[in-house]
Amino acid sequence: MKKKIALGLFFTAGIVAALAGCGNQPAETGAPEETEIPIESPEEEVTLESGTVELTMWSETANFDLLNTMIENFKAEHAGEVDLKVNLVENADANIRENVLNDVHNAPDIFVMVDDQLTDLVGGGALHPVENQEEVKQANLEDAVAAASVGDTLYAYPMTADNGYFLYYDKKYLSDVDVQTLDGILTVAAANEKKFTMDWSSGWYLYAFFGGTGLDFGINEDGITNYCNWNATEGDVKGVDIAQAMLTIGAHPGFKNCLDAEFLEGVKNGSVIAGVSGVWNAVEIQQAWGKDYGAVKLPTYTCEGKQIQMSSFKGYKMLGVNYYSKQKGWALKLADYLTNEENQKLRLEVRNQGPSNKNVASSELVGSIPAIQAVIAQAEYGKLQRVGNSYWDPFMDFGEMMAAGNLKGMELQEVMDMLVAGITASTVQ
Amino acid sequence: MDKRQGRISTKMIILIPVFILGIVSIISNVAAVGNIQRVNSNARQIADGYMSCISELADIQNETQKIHKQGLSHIIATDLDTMLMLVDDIRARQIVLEGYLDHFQMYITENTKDSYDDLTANYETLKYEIANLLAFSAAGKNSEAYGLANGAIANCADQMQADIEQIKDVVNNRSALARTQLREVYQSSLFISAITIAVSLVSLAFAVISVLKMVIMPLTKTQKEISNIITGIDNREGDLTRRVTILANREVAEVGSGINVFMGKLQDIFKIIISNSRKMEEVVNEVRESVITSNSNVSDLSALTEELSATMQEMSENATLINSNTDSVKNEVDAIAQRCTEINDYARDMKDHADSMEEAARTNKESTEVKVNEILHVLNQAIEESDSVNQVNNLTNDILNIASQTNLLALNASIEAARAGEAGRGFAVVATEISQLATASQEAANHIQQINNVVTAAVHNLAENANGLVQYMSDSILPEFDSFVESGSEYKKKASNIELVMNELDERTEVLKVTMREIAESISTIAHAIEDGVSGVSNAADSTQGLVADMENISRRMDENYEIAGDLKKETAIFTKL
Repeated sequence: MKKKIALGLFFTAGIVAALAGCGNQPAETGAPEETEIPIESPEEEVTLESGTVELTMWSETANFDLLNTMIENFKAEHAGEVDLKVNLVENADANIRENVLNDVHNAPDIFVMVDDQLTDLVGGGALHPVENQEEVKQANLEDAVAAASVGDTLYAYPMTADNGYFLYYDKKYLSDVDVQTLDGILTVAAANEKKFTMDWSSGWYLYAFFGGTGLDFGINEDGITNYCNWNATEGDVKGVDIAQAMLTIGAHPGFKNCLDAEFLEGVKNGSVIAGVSGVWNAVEIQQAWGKDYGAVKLPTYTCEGKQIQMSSFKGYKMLGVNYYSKQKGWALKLADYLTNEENQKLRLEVRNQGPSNKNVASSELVGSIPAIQAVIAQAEYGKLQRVGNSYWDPFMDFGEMMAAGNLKGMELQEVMDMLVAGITASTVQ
Repeated sequence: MDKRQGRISTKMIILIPVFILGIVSIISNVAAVGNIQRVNSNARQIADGYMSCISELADIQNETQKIHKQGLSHIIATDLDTMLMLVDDIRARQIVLEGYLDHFQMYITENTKDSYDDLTANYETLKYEIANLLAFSAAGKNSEAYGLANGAIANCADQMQADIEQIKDVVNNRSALARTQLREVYQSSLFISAITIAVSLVSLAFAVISVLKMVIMPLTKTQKEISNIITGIDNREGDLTRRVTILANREVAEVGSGINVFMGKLQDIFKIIISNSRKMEEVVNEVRESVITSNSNVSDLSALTEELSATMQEMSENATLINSNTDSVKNEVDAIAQRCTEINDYARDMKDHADSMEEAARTNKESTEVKVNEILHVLNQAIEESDSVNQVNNLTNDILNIASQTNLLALNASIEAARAGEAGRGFAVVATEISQLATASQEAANHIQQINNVVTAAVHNLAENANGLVQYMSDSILPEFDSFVESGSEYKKKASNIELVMNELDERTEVLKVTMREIAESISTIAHAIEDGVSGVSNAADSTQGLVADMENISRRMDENYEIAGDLKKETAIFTKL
């Protein structure tokens, strides 16, 4: 019996040893168990970075104090979560498109931008979509949300709904009747050896003379190029009529073509009694003119013997977050905070900037601020700023020629044709 | 014993080649498994490792080229939607490409690490410049965008291509080495298998020959001898003295010896069976006769038992009747005891009632006496106070005197008025009025005196009657109360006597109840005992009948035994030699 058991054990041990030997063979290095490549979703997951986080933000200097207050509040709310440092760097809102796309890797994490810059920034992949899309869409005015969106995707956080221009005037010199026409304003200014100013170097402001004429302009369906007939030779108002009106205004002793900063300087030193600008100067102008501070819609101007209401671009300002930011999580969170209801209200109170937030826009405070009232009144004659890239450059020469009255040997129609050719040019080469 | 030890062991002759066959089989299988593993490992290394590695390198190269191409497409895009689509596509491809690069790390060895690091560094640069390209393109700076696409980005793509080629070379070399190893494994496997097959064939042939010669042939011879013995028995010429031949082989010799021992044992057993069959036949005959006699006796016993059972049944019915009557008597005694208890309670109530009656009579008597004395006292006081009525007479006399004097004064006044003549006329009228007033006062006083006399007489009369009433209560009512108290006391005493007698009756009734219960229980016990007796006798009758049946069965079985003994005798007759 013992022999049989020993025999059985011998066989069993042999088989087990053989099988165990099979299992213990070491796997060859370099031979993977699975060879499938994991394909990740293109949706990028954004996480909040911990430790010290340093962010850079571009804005105009006038807003630094207010932004610093908001940023300190944000830091206080997130004390213990992150050691946040935000560097504010001066940059004109109008130059964001140019400056960001020139060097996306060194552009700031957050920047203030205007709605007309949105498509280029999105097309260049420079904007990170808003994280809490539905929440932000619900909180802001429909037009402001549309201005910050491409398709159904919200690419920036709506901040203001006041990015337009209107007329500031000094009541000490100008009456309510005077400010209804540009002729009236220029007459009073000249009589008092003062100036009415407007920036004619920018197509943004110069649209004021074309928008109300009945001529046609807009962006093509490709989202890049423009259509324009401002050089029309037929119709109630022809292209040359507008140019002639501008030449007349430019030659008036009460008129001065200057940049926005120069206008503000003139207000402060008393040389300027009226000018075209936006809400960003409202506080400073009110401080300069005191009780004589006034703000209304733009006046009419004389064109081929008719009074034509000056038009304007209207738009929205918003906060964009750089797609290539190294700290996207906190950049998105800070941008969201800086544009929330509480801070839009603060921006309205301190800087008189019109809110895009529904609740703040419907508050009584909006009605008590003249600059905001003027924006609302002018909005009736305004057009949402949607232009292709080639719109801007042709105006630099055109405005200068009109203001200087120097056509450089060209016929007026040639000047208008050149302007329109530049506006409608394709950027594709 | 020595002979057996000298023989060759068939077990060993068969098992040794089987062992060899088994071990060779295990060794060959283990070797085969090892070879298969090596083949599998090499094949996987080639297929999964090197081929996948090269395939992934091709994927990386492919995605890089596509990203480069999409960047160029972005520059020439003429609408925003296309630009957006291209941006999304480039980013999705970058994620895929980064996934490939991460995954490719598992293939990296010392030889390919530098090339891989260079590859990832070039990819990072390409990614960086692609972002710039997209931005320039969107800003309309197409010349700068083209500059990047054809300059920095193209360079990065070329560098990545060069890195990929270097890695491919290393992988191809390793793949060739693995193929050589695979071929060597295949050849060694063939050699081992050939040896294994040869050894197995030799072992198998040895085992077959051994089994035939050492086992099958000796067993066949022994089987023939056994068949001859069985054939003799079948022909009723059985010879248990015959034995099989013992052969040289140890295990088969042991089988033959075992069969011979068995034949010897069988021979002894049959001898004993034949002897015992004869003895059994004699015993069976004796038992059959005894059983026939017992069967008759048992039938008589059965009849007697049935009669006894019937008698016991009758006794049981009578006992049940007595038991029933005893229960009735017991119930009657219980009813008497119940009534005694009720009467006893009634006598106790009577005694209590007599107590309360005596107490009430005594209380009434005392309160009546107090009340009579109070009335007497009040009455005497009222009579004394009624004497003050007499003072009314004195007062009316005073009024009469005053009226008389007033009348006199009025008369004098009239006279003086007459003297005064005309001046005293008014005064004369007054004097006349005063005179009339005095006369009226006299009449009123006289009326009062008359009424007072009537009142005085009535008070005296009332006093007399009240005294009479008090006297009546003292003389007649109060003694009656004494009589009531005495009657109550007598009533109580009699009630106590009744209670005493009833208590004694109650105790005796209780004793009677206990006695009756014991009698009932005793009679019940007797009845049960009789019933048990009836049942026992009835069972005994049944058992006796069963005994009769058993005796008949024994008799029948003995007949069968007799027949079996006869059969055994016939069967053992087949052996001619024992």
